[in-house]
Amino acid sequence: MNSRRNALKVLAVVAAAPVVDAQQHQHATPKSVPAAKPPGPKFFTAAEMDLLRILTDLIIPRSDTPGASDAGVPMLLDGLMKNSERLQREWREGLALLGPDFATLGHDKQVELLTVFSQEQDTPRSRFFHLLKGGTVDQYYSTREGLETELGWHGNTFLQEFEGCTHPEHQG
Amino acid sequence: MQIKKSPKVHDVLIVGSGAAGGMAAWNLTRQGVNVLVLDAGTKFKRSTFWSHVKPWEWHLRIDRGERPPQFFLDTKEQPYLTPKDDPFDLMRVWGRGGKTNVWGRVSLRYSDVDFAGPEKDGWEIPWPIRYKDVAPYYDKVDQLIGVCGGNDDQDSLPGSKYHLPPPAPRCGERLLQKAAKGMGISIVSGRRAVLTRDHNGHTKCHYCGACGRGCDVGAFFNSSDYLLEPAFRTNRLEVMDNAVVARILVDDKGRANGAQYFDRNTGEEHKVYAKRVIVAASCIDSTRILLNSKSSAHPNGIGNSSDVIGRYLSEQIRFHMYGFVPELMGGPVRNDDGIGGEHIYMPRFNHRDGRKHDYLRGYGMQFWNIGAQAGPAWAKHLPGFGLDLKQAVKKRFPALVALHPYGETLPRRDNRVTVEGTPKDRYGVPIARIEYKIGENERTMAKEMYDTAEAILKSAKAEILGFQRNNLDVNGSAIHEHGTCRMGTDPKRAALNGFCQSHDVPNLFVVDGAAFTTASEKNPTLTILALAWRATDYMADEIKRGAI
Repeated sequence: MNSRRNALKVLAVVAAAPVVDAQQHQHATPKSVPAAKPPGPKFFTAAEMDLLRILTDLIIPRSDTPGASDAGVPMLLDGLMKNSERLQREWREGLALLGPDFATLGHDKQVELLTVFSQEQDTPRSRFFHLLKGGTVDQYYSTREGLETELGWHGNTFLQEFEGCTHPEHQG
Repeated sequence: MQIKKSPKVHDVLIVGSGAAGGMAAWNLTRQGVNVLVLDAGTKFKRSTFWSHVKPWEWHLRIDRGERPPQFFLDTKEQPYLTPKDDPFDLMRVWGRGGKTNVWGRVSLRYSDVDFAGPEKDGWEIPWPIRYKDVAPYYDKVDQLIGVCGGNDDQDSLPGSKYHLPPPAPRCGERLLQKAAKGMGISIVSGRRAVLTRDHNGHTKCHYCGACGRGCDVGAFFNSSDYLLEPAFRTNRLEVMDNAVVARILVDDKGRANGAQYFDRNTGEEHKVYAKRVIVAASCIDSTRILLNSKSSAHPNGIGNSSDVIGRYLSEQIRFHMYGFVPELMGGPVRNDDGIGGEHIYMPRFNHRDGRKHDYLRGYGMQFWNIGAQAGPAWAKHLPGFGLDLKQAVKKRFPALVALHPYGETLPRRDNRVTVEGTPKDRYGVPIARIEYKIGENERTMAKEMYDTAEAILKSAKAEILGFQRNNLDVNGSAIHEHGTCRMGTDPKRAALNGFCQSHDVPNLFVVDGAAFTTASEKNPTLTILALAWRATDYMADEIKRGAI
């Protein structure tokens, strides 16, 4: 391995980091994906997707930052259903537990019902609550909206040095 | 099926190209020995690694039908058996460099607390070597591959004057160090095979924290870039790709003289011949190959007159505990990636200061994922939902501390790998059956491990994320398999001598984790490298004097 060439390569990469970053950001915008039709859900029905938008927003609502459906969590959940009959069954049966009118209940009633689900112990309804919550939370914080905009994560980048903790009060 | 027979007789045949096989190939070729390495896969191309793909870009790429490099072997391709109630997670990387492409990089020296441990407590056979035998090789390995860390010496964790500078600790790590110090527990700079400055032609780390996806600049040790590439430059190394070894072949005197392998793509059977054979296919696969190598000279598998090969499988026990430190809650979010994984380590201390415990051996602790880390898997375990949950996650995001204790598992005769009567793989070769249980000793030690981890978190005044005691990781999860072809001085109780040479078959060596007499609580790779270097120094001398 040629050390100088590699050293130069890394220098070039570090120098170009902001540019690389900007390109990556463009990639992250769905419209920059060439000629891709906005893909529809592959597993969930339109009615189930409507329900998922409501439910995931109940778990992580919009505040001064995007909520779960803003971040595209329902579509990400749909993607998870691929190749897992177990997940497909658990989600479809779970959504059915909400009853036919859940989407038309007011927000407060929806929160109330979901709270009941969350407080039961080891029932189908409580199991679905944890499935919904786990799925929503894991997916939301893997999106740019959740991880970068909401939490302020700015890692996985090129740094010349890692400074670590600089608080004098945390030393020794 | 026609068997392709290669007429060439190689000086040395090495099965496997990971830390063990790579080291053997590098050390022998530089000493003038011609080497053929059989690798079960191909080279992983750095330019294809997803090291800098952000989590949300990951989704888009998958949607477009792309896939990151598939390092880990699909169990469907090469199955193994376990009893229904005793699962064992076996992680294998078939391909140039093996698991070192994605390893955890923790590079701890064993000490005589480890090497002399069995002699002291009388559990199973003693190691045939001591720290003084291995120390010069640890020094050489540190200098060759580049290991960052402190030069702080403890009886259970030697330092090294060859360590590269350690990375600065993250805030959460500093706070844990401080909290543990208040309890009389020392947490030191970790020892990690990550370059904190340019070293031997390899570029230094750029702190992107994505080492688990493979390093796009090769800033941490991997066998392919650090050992095999220099070995190629001697013109004495040949590597055969996609060669899945089934058996070691023997001559009419029972000496190793080659290997039977199958082409991973075509299934075609091949045989290659060599004057000496080194098995380095990682613990379980090496064991499977040895046990399947039956002949009239070796009816119980090659080198196995002692019947210890396959037995004494020793992994490690492990669990995870998380908390949030008050000083960092709601504070600014820092880039906590560092060198990926922890910058600190808690060496074993349970043997000191007259501490009493009713179990043998000990445990240490790692601390990866401290601070603001992508993919906060803990978030879903916070209570409630809605705005309160969203705010609770945000507040805790910079404040995560994570404790991962590792404990030694005693070697037991019935924790074993066998191939008798197992189904056959796609090449018609019996697969491995892994029967492995932890015992009362480990369960007792785990109690103290939980107590220690919880006490450190309490001392740090951390809010502890709910955990269940006895929720140990599935066996195998530490990916630290040892012991199934162990070294020892007594040929009746050990398969190898202290130089990883078979007691039964002098021209056969086994240089991976299988050769370890005990597992210890430590990550084995640095010791595998040191022992493989030492074994092949000995082997090169034996070749020169015509003994093998």
